[in-house]
Amino acid sequence: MSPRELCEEGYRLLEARRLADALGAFEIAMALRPDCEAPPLGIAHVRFAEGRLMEAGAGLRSALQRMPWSAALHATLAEVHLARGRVGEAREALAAARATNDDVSAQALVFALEEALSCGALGLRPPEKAASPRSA
Amino acid sequence: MEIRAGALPEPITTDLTSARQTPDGGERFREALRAGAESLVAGAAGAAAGVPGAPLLSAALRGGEAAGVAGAAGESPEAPGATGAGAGAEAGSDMASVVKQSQEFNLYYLQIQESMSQENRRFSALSNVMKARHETSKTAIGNIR
Repeated sequence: MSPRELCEEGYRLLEARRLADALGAFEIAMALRPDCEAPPLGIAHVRFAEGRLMEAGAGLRSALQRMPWSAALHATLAEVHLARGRVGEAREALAAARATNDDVSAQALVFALEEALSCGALGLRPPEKAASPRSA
Repeated sequence: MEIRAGALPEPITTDLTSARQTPDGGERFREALRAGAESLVAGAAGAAAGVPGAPLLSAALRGGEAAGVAGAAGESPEAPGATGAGAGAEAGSDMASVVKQSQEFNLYYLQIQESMSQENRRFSALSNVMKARHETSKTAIGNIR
């Protein structure tokens, strides 16, 4: 299988919640094409699904050393930071993503993450509950 | 009353007043009416709890209940006395509490609306993140040559 097919297969497996198999597919793809952003992105998504946010962040940082131009990797790193409640680092990663290339979909992800951050959609701010006059 | 000239008047008969021969059932009738009205008001008050505008409806029914009891106790609505003035003051205080409760509920509904709006915004934001993540992955895969 080509790296592209491996990545597609990896996402299919991820969708089917076969996380270990998905991780294997992405790792083979990364071994074949270490200069592509898709395999480390896929690995980060698998780690994210496993709840292993530290590993997801470490893998993305390692990939960013090879591909600092990738807005998708920066944006996904920002997402990992947000999931860990690290707003400052998330903002830095988002700024780095904005400053990199013209990848439209990655910029859309940056925009969506900023919007989610501003309205507290990522579990950073609990929703405020209205006090019922009946209970008062 | 108009009396036309030439019209013959109806014949008038007179009779002596005699004592009532049937037993007086007024008290029983009043009791039955009072019991029926009270049960009706109680049922309506219970049902009113589950409908919009419940405080106002309940207050109105409480007023009706009070009027029903007062009426059954023999007070005349045509001649309001000291008790009527007292009932008026009570009704005024009832109305004030109803207005206050209504304001509280308005505030509560406003808060709920605001909360729902925020929830909707959060949901949309998360949906956009997921969609953008999917697109980013697709693009990254498409970039593999």
